[in-house]
Amino acid sequence: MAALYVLIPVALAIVAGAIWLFFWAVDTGQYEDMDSPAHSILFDGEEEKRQLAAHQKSRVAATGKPTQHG
Amino acid sequence: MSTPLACYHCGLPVPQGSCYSAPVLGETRHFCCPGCQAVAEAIVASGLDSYYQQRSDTALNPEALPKALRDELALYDRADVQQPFVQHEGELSTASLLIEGITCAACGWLIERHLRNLPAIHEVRLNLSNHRLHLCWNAQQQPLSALLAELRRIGYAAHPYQPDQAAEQIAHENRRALRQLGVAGLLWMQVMMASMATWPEFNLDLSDGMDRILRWTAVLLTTPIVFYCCTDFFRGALRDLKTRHLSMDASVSLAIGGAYLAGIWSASSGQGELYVDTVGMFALFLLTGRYLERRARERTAAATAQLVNLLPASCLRLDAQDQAERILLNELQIGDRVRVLPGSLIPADGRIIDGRSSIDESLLTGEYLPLPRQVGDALMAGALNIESPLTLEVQALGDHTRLSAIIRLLERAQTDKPRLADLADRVAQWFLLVVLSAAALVGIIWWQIDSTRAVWIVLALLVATCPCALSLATPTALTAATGSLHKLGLLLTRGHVLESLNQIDTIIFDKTGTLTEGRLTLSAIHPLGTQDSAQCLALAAALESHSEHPIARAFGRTSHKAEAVETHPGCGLQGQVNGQPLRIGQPAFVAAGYAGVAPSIPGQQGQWLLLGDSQGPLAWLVLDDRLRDDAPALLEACRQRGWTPILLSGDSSPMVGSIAQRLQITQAEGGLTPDAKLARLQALQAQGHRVLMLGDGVNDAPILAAADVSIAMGSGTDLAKTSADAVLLSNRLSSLVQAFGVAQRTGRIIRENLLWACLYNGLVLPFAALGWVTPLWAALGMSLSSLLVVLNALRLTRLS
Repeated sequence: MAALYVLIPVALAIVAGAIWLFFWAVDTGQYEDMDSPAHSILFDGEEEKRQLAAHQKSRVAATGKPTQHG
Repeated sequence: MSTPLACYHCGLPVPQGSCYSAPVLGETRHFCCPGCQAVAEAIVASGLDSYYQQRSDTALNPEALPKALRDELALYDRADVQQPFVQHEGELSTASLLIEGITCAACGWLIERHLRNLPAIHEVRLNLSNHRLHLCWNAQQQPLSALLAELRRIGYAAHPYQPDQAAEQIAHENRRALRQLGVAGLLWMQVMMASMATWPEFNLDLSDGMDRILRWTAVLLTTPIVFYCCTDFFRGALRDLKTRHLSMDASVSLAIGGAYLAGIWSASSGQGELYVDTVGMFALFLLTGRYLERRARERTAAATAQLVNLLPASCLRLDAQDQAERILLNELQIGDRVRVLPGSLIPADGRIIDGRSSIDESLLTGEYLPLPRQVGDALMAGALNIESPLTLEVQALGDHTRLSAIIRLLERAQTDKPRLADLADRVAQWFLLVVLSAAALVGIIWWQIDSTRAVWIVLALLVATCPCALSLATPTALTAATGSLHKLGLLLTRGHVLESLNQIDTIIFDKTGTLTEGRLTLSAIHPLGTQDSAQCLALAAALESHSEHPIARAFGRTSHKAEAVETHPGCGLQGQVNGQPLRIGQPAFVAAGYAGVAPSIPGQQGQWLLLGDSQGPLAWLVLDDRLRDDAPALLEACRQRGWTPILLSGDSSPMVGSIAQRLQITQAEGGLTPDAKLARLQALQAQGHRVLMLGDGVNDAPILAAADVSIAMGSGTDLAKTSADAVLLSNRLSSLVQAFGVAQRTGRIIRENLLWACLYNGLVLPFAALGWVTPLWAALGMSLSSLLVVLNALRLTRLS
């Protein structure tokens, strides 16, 4: 139970830090748009996959055999 | 038979015989019009055709966007036009634009990637929830009009975004509400940890000193919650005291204040139970409910801002040398000469000094057939020029046009609007009186029995019966219902709509544009010669495709080509198809082509055009306004609810009677001015009826403002949309039928929630009065009842 003499002030300090961080997030508009970041990550991921697949296909077509590791 | 092919870009049916196609993603795809084909080709040319793979919904047909000619876009480069929404910093300019035409998340990706490919762009960011585009570009390299033209090429229209005072205020308050919410949540969890340790149920062996420390910690952490997060409740309670009208705020403030003060006493005296964690819980639950409501309101406000077309109104002014110059509408002076092209709106009241044409006043008066006008006739601002270019001399501007007389009528009507009372408010008042009197009674009784426990028991009573669930009951249901209605295509712009819809007993319909489509479509073809309907239609379409006026679209597209097409204003069109001379238009004009006698017009209704070649008449083509396909279903739904339908129209043609007959509406009147329509509405309201109005035109705006509940069509005028309580964005009357169902379910769910909340509080009251409620049970009970209320409200997000 003596540990609580240390832990309670530590908890208070952490809460204060958390509140400060939260205020920073709200004030810099982190919560303005909740929809677009989710979509743009997915789309950019799909786009990279597609470009990679297209790249692979063109290499296969050019060399006539699957890519080999060097 | 084969099913009609759907356009690859916008999903509308591809008309037979059309030849618009382009390769997308390795296959040839078909499109319904040159607009869709051009947009698809632009998208493929930028290398962004994976948009078609990733989109979750079809795009908007580019012809549905407001038309902006190249020289209209050039207006955006003028410094005075840019001043409200563009900031300049050296080379870079920053602008905020509202984008129209976004249908799914892939559109956002497409716009951002396409613009990023342009060399002048520095930064581009699109916010999908309110359709705002933040743009930062090098103005020396490319003007703003070039960027707007690029957006048009991929099928989106951009308007300047000017945040008004109200929008800024809402955004600022919502951020404040979010900060309060976050603080309440973070601190409550810490308070819970500290105070749970002191609960007798957990039987922790705390030394007296440790017990005190924990209590004081809990009180210390609760202090910011009370003084920072709950200020709105206290302000509301003070207002209640001043107006002597009790609401939830009074009850909540009492419980919060009481628990906090008792917590201080308990910490300093070391006895009694600690209820401060309930302060944090109330604050968190109630603030969350209110914040979700605020966010929903902010989204609605953003959607409402997109309704009003902010394209700077411009017109073509003729100078002394008869050269046309595009200027802003507010630069127009009385006496100026203005050129109005076919398809454009008349900018100001005036008199025709050159040209002959027909104009469409349906949005102003409800008359849907084009009215012929010639030199010397007067024109109203806001009417649509259909046939051929006109030169007009401006006689009245701004405040003095006939349009503004309607607006003044609107403003008067808005102040007389009846307000319907709120169910939850009435329950809250009654509830609060019961709880306060019970608390007083219990306090007095316990004071006699055992005065040390009396205070704690009264406190437990106030806390346990705090109407957490009760105050969440209505807002959660309304927010969920508003969200699902928005998905259906009905945007609620004022808060009382859902509750008021359940008290309606009469519904007034406008005709043109509301029950009908509002534009002339081909309703019948009567062949007179050897060629059949399809061939006559193809010939007519070939001729009309060269004409600029909006009616030409009613004929559709064809693969036939016409040559040497000439327009004879007021009479018709003349041209050659496959070497055959053809004429279409007024019977006398067409008869001159085959040097014969014009047949007399067989029918009563609609606009009758004659098609003829050099041998004789080929066919009658009838253009008429069409009843919407889902109108009968809407009337049926209204009848099932026991509402009386009434048709009031500004149109004086026989179409009013025929539509009333088809839809079986017994009370129908045509040829009404806005004053007369308003008088009919007020007479009904004076008889005690509650009226729902459905309309779209400028002449409907005063009635939309004065009715108990009003809905404007999404295709209607800006004035109608901003005067109404709700806007039917999808223009589908079937969405309205579903919306009425949602309103009914919402009313039921609100009543269920209120019933459950009262039941819970009623059950807890005797236990608290007997002294059996501890903080643990108070916390559990409150959380569970609030959760139940919210889950019940979420049933409204399911559309079936």
